[in-house]
Amino acid sequence: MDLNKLVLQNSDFRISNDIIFHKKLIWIPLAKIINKKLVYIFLDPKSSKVIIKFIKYLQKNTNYKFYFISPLLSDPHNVRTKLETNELNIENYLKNYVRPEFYDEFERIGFDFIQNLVDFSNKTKSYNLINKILEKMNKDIQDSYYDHYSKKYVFFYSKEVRERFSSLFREIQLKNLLK
Amino acid sequence: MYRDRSWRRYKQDLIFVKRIKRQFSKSSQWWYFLNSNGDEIEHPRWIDLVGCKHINFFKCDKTDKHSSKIKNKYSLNRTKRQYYRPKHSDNYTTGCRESDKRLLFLILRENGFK
Repeated sequence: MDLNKLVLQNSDFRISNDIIFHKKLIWIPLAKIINKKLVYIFLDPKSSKVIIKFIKYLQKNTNYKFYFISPLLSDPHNVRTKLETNELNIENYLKNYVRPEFYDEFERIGFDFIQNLVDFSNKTKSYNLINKILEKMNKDIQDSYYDHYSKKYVFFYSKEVRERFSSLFREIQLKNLLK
Repeated sequence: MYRDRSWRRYKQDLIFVKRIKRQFSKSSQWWYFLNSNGDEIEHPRWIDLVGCKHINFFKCDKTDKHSSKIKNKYSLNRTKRQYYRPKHSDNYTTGCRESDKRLLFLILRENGFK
């Protein structure tokens, strides 16, 4: 397997039961190998740098397809949520898309994150859920408060991200048609 | 035994984990808990705190206790004149790695190398 080369290069990686771990204080699950063509990566901001390195490695040296899933699904003993898995994964996609750790880095690498989301939703037949979750999240992302000291409205996210997110569903629809 | 940077990092990690565990045992999370990804978790453990931003405070926290004595004694950031690392490091203090680096960059900029 090609992924064994990655693990042998660095002592901070380990594979057990088809799950790749990396060390950061504890052994954190990084990805799950489904078969010889498919890998699911646990998208989590605490291992953002490693995820970006891993994506680069997969794109250059292997023929694996990869999708992103929620890190809550890495614990097989008790899935500690009330949401359904498809809903959880798509929410996790959009939640992490806004974060600067991933938003800036994916643009720098040239990785099409939205295309990956569209492919994943078509594969799991959960394309209809995207619009519902987007509308729910858009309220939080466009949210602001008035700072009386500087007499300005302060936003939680940058202007670029807010504008991109407001027209994101149109972009998703276009990518779904043009695939 | 030669205590190099990797040894210090290993020792720092042990202290970091100890502090996280202590903080987790003191505070009660029975009502509401969010991990680093912003997911709400019902039965949290100390492992779920890894990666949270507020926990990074414990990395650079210094005490007078034995745990941080080693860090002072063998740190590269320690100055030769004083035992403890200067908190407000000026450009004039030498011997400290960070201030030395800052001085070097200043000299390079003045002479047009950077």
